[in-house]
Amino acid sequence: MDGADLGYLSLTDAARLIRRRELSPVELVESLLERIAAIDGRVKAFLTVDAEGALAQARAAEQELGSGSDLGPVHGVPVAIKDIIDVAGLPTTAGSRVLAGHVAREDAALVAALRGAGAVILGKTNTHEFAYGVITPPTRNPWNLGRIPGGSSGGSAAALAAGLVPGAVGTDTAGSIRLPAALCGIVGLKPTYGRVSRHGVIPLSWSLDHAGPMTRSVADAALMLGAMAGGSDPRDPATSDAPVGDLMASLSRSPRGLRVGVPRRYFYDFEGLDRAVGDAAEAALQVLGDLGMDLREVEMPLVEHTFALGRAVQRPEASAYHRARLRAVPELYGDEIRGDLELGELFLATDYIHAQRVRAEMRAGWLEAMRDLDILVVPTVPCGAPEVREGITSGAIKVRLLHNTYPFNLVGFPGLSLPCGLTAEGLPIGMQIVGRPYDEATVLCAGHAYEQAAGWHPRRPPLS
Amino acid sequence: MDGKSQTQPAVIADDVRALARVAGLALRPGRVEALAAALEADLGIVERLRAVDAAEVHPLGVSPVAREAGDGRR
Repeated sequence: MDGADLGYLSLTDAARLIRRRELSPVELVESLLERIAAIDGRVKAFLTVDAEGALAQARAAEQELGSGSDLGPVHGVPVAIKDIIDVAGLPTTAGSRVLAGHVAREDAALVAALRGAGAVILGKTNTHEFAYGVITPPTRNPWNLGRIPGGSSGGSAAALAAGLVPGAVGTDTAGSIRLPAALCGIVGLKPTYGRVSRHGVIPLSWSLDHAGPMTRSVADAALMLGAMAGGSDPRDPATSDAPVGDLMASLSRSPRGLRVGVPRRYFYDFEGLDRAVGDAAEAALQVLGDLGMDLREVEMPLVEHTFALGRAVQRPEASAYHRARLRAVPELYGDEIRGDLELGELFLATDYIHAQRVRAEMRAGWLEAMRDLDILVVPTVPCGAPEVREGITSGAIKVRLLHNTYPFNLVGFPGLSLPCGLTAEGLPIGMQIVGRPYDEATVLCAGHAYEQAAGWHPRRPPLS
Repeated sequence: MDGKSQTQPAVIADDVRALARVAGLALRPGRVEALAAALEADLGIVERLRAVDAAEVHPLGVSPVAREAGDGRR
């Protein structure tokens, strides 16, 4: 295999070849480091590349396999971590001058879980500052370097699309895994709220934050989530002991008969939905029907209040986390996030509490709507990746970009974005499959079946 | 329609100064007007939310997302 082949090797194939000793983890890491050196100057997906550390981990993984020790499902496989997540000994800057020079002393819980399953940590990927935005400057979209990758996990998505790593971790408060996944033509899974511990992850908004895998196939996402989901963690009170099950086995289940909810109102009739995206979503529904799934139109109550709820919850929660630093070093924040944090300080506590009550009501209604359904299917993002422009702000584009992802953070349901087409400009389009809480298995089953039938996922960006 | 009451005056710079004073937040010179405009915009959205009746709903403690048994039912 040449460098590009190794760069685009799937996570599941890499794990299988390494376990069979047909691929050396050292060779894989060296190849990825060469690709990063050759390509990442243009893409700017990584903030930190831990070449020395990754090679040492890969050598250790090789020795362990040689001595008959198998650490787990991702033994020897390199992964990248979004730079709001702690990796012991590496900087965690959150893409901000506020944390310049900060080095993490211990691994985040999810990083420890990945290491425990054998993963090699290759480096830290770029993020919109403190994950509070949808652009991720200065990272560019590998499908078109004049376009944004989306955010806030834009570095992880761009690294995957550019073939720089087979798996990465992102976080998602309003769409920050699924949005860049859709814009960069990769797979992103926001698991159920509480599925993955956020201990060691810098919060944006506690009651909305999720961490999850970003990959190039649904099978890879299943493998990686299985390695990350660690059950109940007393350091993150949202976590649960709900069993994750055998996610890889779920991929071979038949999708025939799955009941698919199609919520036309809000998600499909949105005035900001580009025609190409709508057409791709309709074509995807057709594929799901051809696979034997049962499509039904469904109404999701209170969804029209998504952005009001999001603002009333996210703004004050973010400002509460940044309260001390905003007073100590306000000049170190970027202008846009500083303004957002100041604004969050001016919200009323009564509005925050009322929003949480309405949100609970919304979630109860959605659980009721899902009683007779297995999944929902909606377009992930209403448009292709926006152009990089002078003065572009998250505030100007986020209502459109997050329109179809934000509702699922409010209710905490698992959401998977996967490629379902290309715009006329050759930019990726994503579809989103959403399941009931803690039922990632059914989401992955449906996603894998669609992926194999539609065949969009092997496409690579025109990046040499 | 931004949902804001027609009789409600728009948020002005003095309102922002007063709220920032209550919050103990020092604002940048020249930033107050921009914050007033942003707060006015957010308020228009939040006021629609205030009209939703959720008086019977508890916010479920720290996290509004209830723990699940694993089958999606409460």
